[in-house]
Amino acid sequence: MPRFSAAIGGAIILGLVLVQTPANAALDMVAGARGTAVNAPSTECSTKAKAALGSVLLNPFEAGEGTGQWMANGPADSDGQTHAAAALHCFPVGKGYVVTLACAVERPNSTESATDLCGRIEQAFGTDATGGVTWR
Amino acid sequence: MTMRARLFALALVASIVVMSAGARSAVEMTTGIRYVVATGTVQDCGAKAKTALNTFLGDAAESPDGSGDWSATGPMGRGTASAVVHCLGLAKGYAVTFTCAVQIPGNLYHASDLCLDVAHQFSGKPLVALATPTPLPTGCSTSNLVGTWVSNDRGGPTLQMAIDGSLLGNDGVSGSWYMDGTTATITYYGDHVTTLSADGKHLDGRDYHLTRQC
Repeated sequence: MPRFSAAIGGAIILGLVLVQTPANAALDMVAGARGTAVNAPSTECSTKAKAALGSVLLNPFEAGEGTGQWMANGPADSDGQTHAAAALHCFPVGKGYVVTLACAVERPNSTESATDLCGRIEQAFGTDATGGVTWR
Repeated sequence: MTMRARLFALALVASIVVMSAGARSAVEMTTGIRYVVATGTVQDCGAKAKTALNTFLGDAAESPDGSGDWSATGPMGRGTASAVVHCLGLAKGYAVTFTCAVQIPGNLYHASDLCLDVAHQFSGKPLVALATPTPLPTGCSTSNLVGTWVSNDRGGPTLQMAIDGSLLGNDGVSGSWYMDGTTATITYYGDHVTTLSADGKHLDGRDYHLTRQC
């Protein structure tokens, strides 16, 4: 009987060790690059923001109609929890617009860093070569 | 396969499932109020952003320098909330946006609560108090590491751990501590994962073996 107890106890301790990493999850948030389109309507920014967020994350939505503030979350895991999110702010400036980006992930549940997530959204939004937007 | 081996495998799978379920948490993000300020510069905006972020979080920083993009994380020693403030220069004045994220469970307030307060601190509007942890008990508590910890190993450090999650070593080097159940992560010359004993008096890990003076 003591041997069976030792087996169960050992398994529980090993289980604790194996799930230790998710228990130490941490929030990773960054301000991404800032995009500028010199000559383009701000409605274009919203269209691109929605498309870019939708291609990298899921179900993009505008936080208040006409605000130009777009958000999306990553896919839910088996517990219904999401571990990545991003927000794009479109703001008209002169004859064009400025778009800012912020990304957050929970590591290590997300295998991707917030910086990498922002980089992918930036690429999906469009660059100078693909969409007249300069990022810095 | 022997009965012992079967029992071991069964208990291992069960413990991983049970403990993993409890360890799950998620990211909650929100965008806050957007202000357009008719007078002032991006530098003015940055100064206000830094103050507003440091009021609720810590170590607010602009990255890269001069970009107008400010971010901060807190509370100290926990890192379960973050915010980003973007300052945009206009022909006259500037615009400022707020984005916040929190880790739930683990953080005591929602991302929207944080963003509202950061924006209101920025603009000088009334604040709504954010939830704060119930005052932690002192002594050999199993819910915190507050107190003086002395190394069991000769020449090891003595660490003073404070209620805000910070710590100070006897060599003057500061760090932080964070607890999740009985697992305590000590950040002091790197991260060290330790386990708190059931009596709240001992911390044991690969690198450190500490006893609390309580």
